[in-house]
Amino acid sequence: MMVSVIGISFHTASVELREQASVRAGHIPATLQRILSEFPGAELVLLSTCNRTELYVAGVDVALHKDRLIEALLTRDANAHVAGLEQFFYVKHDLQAAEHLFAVAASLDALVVGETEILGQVKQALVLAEEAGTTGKVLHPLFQHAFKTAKRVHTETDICRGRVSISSLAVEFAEKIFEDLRSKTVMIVGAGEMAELALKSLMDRGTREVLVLNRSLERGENLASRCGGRALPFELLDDYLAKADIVISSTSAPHLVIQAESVRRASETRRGRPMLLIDIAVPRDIDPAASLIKNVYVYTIDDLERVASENLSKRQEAVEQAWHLVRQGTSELALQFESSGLRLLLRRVDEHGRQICEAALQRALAKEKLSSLPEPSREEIRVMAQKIVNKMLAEPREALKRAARNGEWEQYARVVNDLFGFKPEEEGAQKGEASGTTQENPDRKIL
Amino acid sequence: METILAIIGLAVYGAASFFALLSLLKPGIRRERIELNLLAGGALIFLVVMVMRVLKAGCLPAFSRFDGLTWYALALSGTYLLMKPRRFARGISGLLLPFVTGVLLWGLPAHGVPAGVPPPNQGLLLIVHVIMGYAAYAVFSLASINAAAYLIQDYNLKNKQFGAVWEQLPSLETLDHVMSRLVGLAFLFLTVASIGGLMLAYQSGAGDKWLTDPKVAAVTAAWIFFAVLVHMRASSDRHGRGVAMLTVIGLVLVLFAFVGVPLLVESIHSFLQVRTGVVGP
Repeated sequence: MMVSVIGISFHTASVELREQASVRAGHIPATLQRILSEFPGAELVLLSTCNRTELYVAGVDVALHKDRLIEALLTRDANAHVAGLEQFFYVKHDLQAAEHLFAVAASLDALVVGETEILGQVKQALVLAEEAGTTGKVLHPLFQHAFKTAKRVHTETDICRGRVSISSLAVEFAEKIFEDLRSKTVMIVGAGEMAELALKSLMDRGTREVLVLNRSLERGENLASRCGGRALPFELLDDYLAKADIVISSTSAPHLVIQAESVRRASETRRGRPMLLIDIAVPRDIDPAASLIKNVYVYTIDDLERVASENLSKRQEAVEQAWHLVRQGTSELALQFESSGLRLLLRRVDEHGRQICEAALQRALAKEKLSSLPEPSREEIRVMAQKIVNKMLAEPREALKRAARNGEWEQYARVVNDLFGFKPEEEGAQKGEASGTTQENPDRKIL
Repeated sequence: METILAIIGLAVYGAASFFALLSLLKPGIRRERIELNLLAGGALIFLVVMVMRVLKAGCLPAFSRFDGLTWYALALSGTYLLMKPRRFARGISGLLLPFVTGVLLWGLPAHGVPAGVPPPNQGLLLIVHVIMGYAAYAVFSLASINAAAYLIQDYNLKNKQFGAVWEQLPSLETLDHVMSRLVGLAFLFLTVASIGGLMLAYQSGAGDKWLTDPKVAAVTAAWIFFAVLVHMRASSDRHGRGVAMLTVIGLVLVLFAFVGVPLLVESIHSFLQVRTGVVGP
């Protein structure tokens, strides 16, 4: 299959090192072009996220050119080179590389298992590679197979069920209370980092109206300007509470900041419209009694952490099942590869035997003693010679089939190629020929 | 033949309910698809049964317990199937389908002879009265089931029960909006049905008898209740748990007017069948 992955990830390197190795989306096509100029004819896809930078390669012997590829990957514009990262790179080949890609796309090889953003990032990596013209009959179908497997993992297991970060859980709760977050007003009380993250998640879902109340108006204004909201003096909290559909509080005040009575008044003004109050401060900002008010839903950091932990456990329970699907996907790919490769190789072995037999017969029958033989006798000799060749090749054929069944296909195929002197380029040409239906069946292109 | 078809239809509804409950507890696209197909299949079977009964009676049979409850169940199923692709989420069917199946099961033993309409009352007005009446019952029942879903979701959110049901049911606001529109629609249908009923009463020359009829009184009570609900929503802009609870209580009133009155007291609406549970708009 000649597919490899060479990369650096959170498994092997710290965030500082990963940052140095990462390539911004806008620079990926140029990076791919640069690597391609060093390895003409190669197929390349570069996946770069905050947790990994991986280069998927086909048509290059990565074992042989590992250092050159890493160097090319770490070379930035104007030939500036990021040094000292080589030791953190890992390399995987063929089915291991395919399995790795499937696991990455399915979010199994992830810092937080089951986060679906990675699938979009893998798809984006393929799109960028297509734009750069560095994908082809090997990597394109390999990635399509990865998407198919990831989709199966996401739909057939609980790996993606439930959110696991505090900020995304805030959105999940909001979506279970409100129909459309775009028309909702969010009030941020205390410009803490966690509140800002939660606000960002809500704004990603379309929330536009933001009110920021902070003891320090200047700091509040800073946050408000970053999110396009409005900063208000802290003293106006009670006046504006009724306007807020979602309140996220994260002050460092040692006492309650939002009293139950204020919430009750706000709720009454809202005539039964629900209010979501998220208290991520420790000690708490919102009076616990507010949760007893009708149509008011109060969640503390403990609630969010409990749900996050439960969701994470559910995901962990699904990990084994998900890995089973990934391995199944890899086996299917391997099976397709092996059956197609086996067919091609056996055909070549047969063809080789037939050519030897035919050449020997031509030479023998051209000699004087045999040239006078009548045609039926010549045909008899031809059949006998072919039978001898077939008999001799029968055992190697069986051995190849056994090897394919036992997963030892790669080694046996190499030995057979060496023994019979088959050249790789001939093999490639034959494969291309054999996969003449590549447009209709992309999975076969890889084979 | 009719009986066999009705039993098959009921079994299909039972299977749809099973899948709806299963979907509520363990979500799955495939299960939801099966449930929808079964519901559509069950509704179609009962529709065939009702067409057979129309042909047998030579008019619209809508006044025996079987006919009344079947039309009601079909109206509920039809409204749900129409609304499903828009705003209803999967979870609602987990409440609706067992209810509809229960209604059909109750009506099945009374499937005897289809009850038609006496000749003096036959006509377009009666058809409008009957259809609007059933539509009002069905749409308001659906609004109440929606309200029940709201209360369940509210309970889950208040008590931090984030299980499969919480995950399956739509947002509170979605449920509130759907509820509001359904109540408005049901009120409109009931108003048209009531006006039709008044005109029929005038035509029949029965005079004051209609004004003192228990069925008319129950329906009028339901109409006033609807009017208050519609006013609370439209003019006072009321939302939330309180309105949802009132909507659920409204279902009790509707069911009382629809099936309770004919079972408990004698009504002028029982002009076709005696005793064995005459229901109708």
